[in-house]
This record gives sequence, C-alpha cells and structure tokens, in this order.
Amino acid sequence: MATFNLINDWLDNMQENADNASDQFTIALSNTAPGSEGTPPTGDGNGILGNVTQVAYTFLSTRNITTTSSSQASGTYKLILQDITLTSTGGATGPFQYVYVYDDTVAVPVKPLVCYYDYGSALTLNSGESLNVDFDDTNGLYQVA
Amino acid sequence: MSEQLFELQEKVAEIKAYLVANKMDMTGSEVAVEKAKIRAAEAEIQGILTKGADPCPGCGRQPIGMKKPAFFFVGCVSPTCSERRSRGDSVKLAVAAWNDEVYFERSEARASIVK
Repeated sequence: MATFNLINDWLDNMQENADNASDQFTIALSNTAPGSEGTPPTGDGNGILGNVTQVAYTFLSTRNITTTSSSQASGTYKLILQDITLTSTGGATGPFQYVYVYDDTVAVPVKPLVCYYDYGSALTLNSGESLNVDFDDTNGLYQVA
Repeated sequence: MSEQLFELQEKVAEIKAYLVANKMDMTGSEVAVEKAKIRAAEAEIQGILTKGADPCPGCGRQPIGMKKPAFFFVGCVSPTCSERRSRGDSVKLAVAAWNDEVYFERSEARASIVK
C-alpha cells in the first residue's frame, strides 16, 4: 500500500493560486526520494514540479486526472478525483517509486505539487502493464476542515 | 449515455489543456469564461452519473457519481456519510443500489496503487 504525503507548500498554493474545481491535476513519476532531490520539494518554498526528477513518459498513457468534485459539506472540504490507470505501451516506464500529484494549470508558482505517494519499492511498468492509482471515492485526495 | 459522458469528459480535458497551454497569454475574464465552461460540463457529467439518485438518506445532500475502472460509483461526500458508497456495473445499477441503501465497504486504505 502506498503512503500519502501532503506537500506543505500546497497549503499555501491551494488558498492563493489554485482553482481546484477547474484546474488540471496531473501525475508525475519519480524514482528519487523527495528528501534526496537537489532541492527537496518537501521543503517550504520548494514544492514545485521543477524540483522533482521525473522518469521518461515516452510510452505512458495520459497522466491527466479527471476531477469529480471539489466542494465542502458540513464544514469539510474534499477534493475528489477519479481513479487513473497508467498504461505503458511499446516500451517500459520507470523504474519509479514516488507518484506525485501536481496542479498543471497554475502558472505562478509553476506547476505546484499537491502530494506524493511512496510506493515503498521501485516499480517498472513493462509494455502492456498498467498501474491503477485508486483515489478514495468519498474521502477524496485530501480534506480541509 | 456513455457516448455523451465521453464527449463531456473530452470537452473538459480539451479546455483544461487549452488553459494549461495558454493561461499566461489570456486575460482574467477569458480564463473565467473557460473555467465556467469546465464547471458547466462537470455539472452535466454529475447529472449523468447520478441520474435518478435520491438525496443521501443521512444528510440530504445529493450524492456524487464516478466511473471507476471496474464499476460505476455513487456515494456521499459529507463527512458524516462518507461510508455510504454504492456501486454497480452501470450507472442505472449503481443508482439503484444507492437508492436501495446497498453500500459496500472500501477495502483499500486512503489510496492505493495496484499493479
């Protein structure tokens, strides 16, 4: 099971720069631990895609996530995202261990990171193999209360 | 229904891609127009995925609908009712399960990746 880690800077960006209901959230894959990046994206002020060492996506299907709901109910906000299946076709993708979600629409800062999942070990998608990123249907990617 | 759903999802994806590519060159009002189109299409999508669904019996809120890889989903996002999750092989079956209060337990944790 993958573990969820919120990027601290997102708490700032989601209030000041993002429009969760209409922004494009996208997946990024990395095999470099966030803490081992040249500029760790987990550090304050560093939570952007540019600080993530990504794998090549040559053979990978779309990484764009469909947003199902962005709303609050009874004082709790939730961002609900549709599951996404990543399929490698014609070649391998990876290895990667870290699955990031970032906001592809926000321009300043450029492509802020929302969170990442640590898969626990490196994973390679060979041609024809798929990975289903299964977001929680009702609890959402994250909540704000 | 599935064709209309696909077309709407494609429309949302196209507008989002357009915004990602051109946002820096657009005025605020131009961006707002495109975002309004996204919200309208997403509302239509929700209308399709929850057609005929009763309000949540716990909180009275309208449920959300979603197409999962293996099934259609209808559920409530209220914090007090988030365990009310129904599913079916079609929108109609998922909505029927929801209206009959037939819920399923999510076995995965908060999120999971399965190869």
